[in-house]
Amino acid sequence: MSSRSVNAVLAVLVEEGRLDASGAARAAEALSGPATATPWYLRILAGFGGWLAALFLTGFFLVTLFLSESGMPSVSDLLPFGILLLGGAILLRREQRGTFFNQLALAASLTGQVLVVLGVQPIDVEGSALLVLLMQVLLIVFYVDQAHRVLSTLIAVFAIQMLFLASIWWWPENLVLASDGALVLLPVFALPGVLGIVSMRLWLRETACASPGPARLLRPIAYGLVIGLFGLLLPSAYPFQYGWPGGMFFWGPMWPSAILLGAGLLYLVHTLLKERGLPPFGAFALSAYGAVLLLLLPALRAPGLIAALTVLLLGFRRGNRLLMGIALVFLAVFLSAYYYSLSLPLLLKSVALVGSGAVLLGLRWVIFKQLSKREALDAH
Amino acid sequence: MQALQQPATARRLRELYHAGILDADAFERALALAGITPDVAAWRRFLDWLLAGLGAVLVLAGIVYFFAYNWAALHRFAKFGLVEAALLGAVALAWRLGPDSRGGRAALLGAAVLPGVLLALYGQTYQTGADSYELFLTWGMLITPWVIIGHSAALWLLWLVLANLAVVRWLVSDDAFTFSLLLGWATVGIPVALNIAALAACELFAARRPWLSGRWMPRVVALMVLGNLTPWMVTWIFHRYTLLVPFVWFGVTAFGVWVYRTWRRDLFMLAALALQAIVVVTAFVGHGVFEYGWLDIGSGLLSLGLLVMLMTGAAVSWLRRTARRWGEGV
Repeated sequence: MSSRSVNAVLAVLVEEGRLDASGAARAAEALSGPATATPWYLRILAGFGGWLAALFLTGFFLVTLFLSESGMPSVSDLLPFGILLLGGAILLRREQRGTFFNQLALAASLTGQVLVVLGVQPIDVEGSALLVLLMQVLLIVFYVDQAHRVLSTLIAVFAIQMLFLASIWWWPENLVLASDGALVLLPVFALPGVLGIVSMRLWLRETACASPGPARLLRPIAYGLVIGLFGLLLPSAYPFQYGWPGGMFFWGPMWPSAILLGAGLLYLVHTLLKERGLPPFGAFALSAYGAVLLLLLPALRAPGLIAALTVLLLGFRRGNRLLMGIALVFLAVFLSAYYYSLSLPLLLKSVALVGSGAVLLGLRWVIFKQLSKREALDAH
Repeated sequence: MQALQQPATARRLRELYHAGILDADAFERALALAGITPDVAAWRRFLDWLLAGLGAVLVLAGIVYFFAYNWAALHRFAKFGLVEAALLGAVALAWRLGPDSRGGRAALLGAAVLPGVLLALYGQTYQTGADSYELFLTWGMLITPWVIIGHSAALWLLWLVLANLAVVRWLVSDDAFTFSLLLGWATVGIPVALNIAALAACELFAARRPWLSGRWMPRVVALMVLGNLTPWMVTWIFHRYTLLVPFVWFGVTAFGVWVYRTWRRDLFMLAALALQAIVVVTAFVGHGVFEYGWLDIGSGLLSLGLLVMLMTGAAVSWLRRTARRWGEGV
């Protein structure tokens, strides 16, 4: 956390010629407006209320419409109500700034989404997934609320995964093919990797993404993608524990994602070195790449570990504690799941644990030796 | 100009960037100046911490696995010896580092956890047949002297959790049969009272104990109070056993609001109280609608939805107003 005041920071910027004096004067005006910051527990309170209300309201619509025509279900009647609710929610969120109306808009949006999906009655999983995806894209653009955009991104990610998974859902025999690494499953297993690359790109260019204008949409999207990435990788942490509608289960190799995420991590390390002005192929850089490659070898079957490490570095780079917190939680989850799922006897597991711990401690020793050597050279 | 005297947080700097006052270059520089984006020294500390932390966790986990692997083969004296050696090691470390250092406090916390392991091992080895509340009670009593000299909120919290477990397990054990029969549903009030007492102690002593001055400890204890009180009240709504419950619930909620609004200003506590009140009122109305048929199901669901929105909106705007009056600018 910063101990400097805004004033102190602006004074240095003026001194360095990055800001003129009139800018500093306008800053006071920009910051004295109604503060938008809300403590996290107030958001939890508001979110909880919104969800609970949406649940009751969905129930109301279902009960009213199902029981309206002498007990005959009339699901398609739900669609106009859903569209009305969604439109109303978007307008309400745009017009009003009050907490109560934000609540109302959130509840209306969630209810409307459920009603639209029920009302359209898509005939298959692909149809529902596409519909949900389309709805989320519209909501991200038009529903002016950062937290809602994170949620929409997250739902969209899962809709895309459903779209890819639908091919196995309906034809379980594809699973048998899947165990041979069939192409039909490639999108499913590559999606987390692609998400990882895209969200890394967004977080690396956060300044551009935070600029005024439509680019502001990208920040909540970046958060949603990171949470979605971990969500999609969770099943890979506990392999062989999920049943599928085909009787047989094979959560196939996540290697496409692991390779993509690994390449992403290498690129991130390269970028970080470049930002710090270190030669990209100097001794220190090479040992850093070596360390990453060493980590990647055992982690190829645990892409979650690579993703968590990448997000942790991205978070630290921007001083973003929320991102670091998310990454640390998932790092602990993926790390424990990794050793838990190793099909080794306890004794070998223990050796593997002590061994990898020793490797990390050794790495620390080598890296800091390199650093002090470099400093000694610089001093000369 | 008062706004400019506030700390330069990432959010405030981003607002200036959004307002077009800072360009991309100046924004980046401002983040670095405010110490939000790390410099080389911060990167080094982070890498050091990350590698050392992960390495140590993995090595320790490996050692635990090693003993888990050989556990069945170990003689019972070897098992006791291992746990006791760990206990002695933790105490020695705590003694050496002193209770005022972070490492010393962590070591003492470890030392306070290990008697539980030792007692559980004893019970397992000799099949004492003791009730689980006896384990928690003995464990809590054994570590009480350390807790008193430890000057650590985490130690007190461990002690309080043990006290809670001991009380709750005792209430459901055979030893408390007559007692529970006499008091009936009011027995659930005992953990509530215990945690309220702990919370009161926490708030009263906080001013005189610098290690207790942070807000996290009273907040966790308050959540423990509500974690007992709210389910108690909700089950009362569905079963209506003794009128004591709604009185206690209302009294605690109203007193809590008064305390945290006027005496010790804490928005978190007010938000937690509001949330649990919303849950209780919703349960009350929902029970009336579905059990007693106050309304038909459709209108009942609609009213509940509207009621929840109304209560949440009112709660959040009340909390914001309160914060604004305190000058927290929320």
